[in-house]
Amino acid sequence: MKEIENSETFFSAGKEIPYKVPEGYFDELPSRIQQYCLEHSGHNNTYSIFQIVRTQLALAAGFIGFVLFALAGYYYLQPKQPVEVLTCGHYIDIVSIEITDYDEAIIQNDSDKKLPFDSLKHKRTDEMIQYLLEENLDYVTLIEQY
Amino acid sequence: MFRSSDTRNYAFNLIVRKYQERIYWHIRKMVVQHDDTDDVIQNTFLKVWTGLDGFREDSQLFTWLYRIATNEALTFLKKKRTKFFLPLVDVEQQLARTLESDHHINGNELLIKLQKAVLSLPAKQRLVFNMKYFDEMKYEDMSEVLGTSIGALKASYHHAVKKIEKFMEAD
Repeated sequence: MKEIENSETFFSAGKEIPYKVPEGYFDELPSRIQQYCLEHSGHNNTYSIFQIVRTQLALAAGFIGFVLFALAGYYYLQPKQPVEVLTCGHYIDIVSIEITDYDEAIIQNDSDKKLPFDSLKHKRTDEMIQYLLEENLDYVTLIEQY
Repeated sequence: MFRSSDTRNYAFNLIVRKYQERIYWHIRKMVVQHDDTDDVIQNTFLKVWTGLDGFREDSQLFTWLYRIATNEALTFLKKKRTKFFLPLVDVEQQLARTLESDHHINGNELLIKLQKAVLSLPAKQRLVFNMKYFDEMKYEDMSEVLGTSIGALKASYHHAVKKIEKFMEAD
C-alpha cells in the first residue's frame, strides 16, 4: 500500500471510477431482481427428463455415429479381392482336364499319403524273399540285396 | 430470518437493498458495460436466492455475495470470449474501447486511462487490484472471496501495481 500512496500516478488518478448508471437504477433494481428470481427459480424446478439426459443422449449418439463411420470407413478402405464368377465354361474346363495334365510326382505323393501301407508291394517283397529262400540263396546275398 | 419461508422474501429484499450498490460496482469494474453488469447482477442475486438455504454462517454474508458475484463476472467474460471466438486479451481490448464510446461512462482522461490500464491486466489480477485499490478490502476477506492465499494476493497486487504504473507512464 505504501508504494501506491507514494506513487504520483495513483495519487493523481485517485480512486474514483468513470462509470455511471441510469438515473433511478438502484431504486428499481430490488423489485426487478425479485421479479427475475421468482420467474427463474420456479422455472428451474421443472426440468423434464429429456432436459436432464439430453447431454448424455447427445454424447451417446455422437459415439455411435463415430463407430458407424469408422466401421464404414474400414470396410470401404479394405483392398477388394475380385470375385470370380464361375460360368458354365469353367465347369467344362475342370471336367475336361485329363490325368496327364497333372504332375506325376504330386499324384504319387498324394496317393502315398492316402495309402500309408502298400499291402501289394509288401506282399510281393515277402513272396520274393520266400522264393529266394526256397532257392537256397545264402543270407549274406539276401541282406546285401534288401 | 431467511431460513423461514414466511420471512424469506423480506430478508432477501433487505440483502438486495443493502448490498446491491457494492455488488454492482464490483461487477461493473470487471465487465465495464452497464447492460452486461445488469445481466450479471441479476444472475448473481438469483444464485443468492436459490442458495440461501445452503449458506453456511461460518463465512460472512458479504464475502459470500462477493464470491458469487466474482464467479458470475468471470463466467460472463468467459462466455463472451467463447461466443466471439476471441482470446481473453481481445475481450479486454474490446472493453477498453467501450470506455471511449459507452454513454454510461463519464470521467476525466486520467480516470479513463487508469481504467484502461486496469483492463490490460489478466482477469484474476484485475480482480485483486479492484478489490484492494478501489474497494479497500482486507487481504483476509479477499482470500476468503477468491480462495487464494494472502501471500499470493499480495504478490499479485504488487505485480498489478507495477504493470499499471508502467502503462500510465508509457503514453
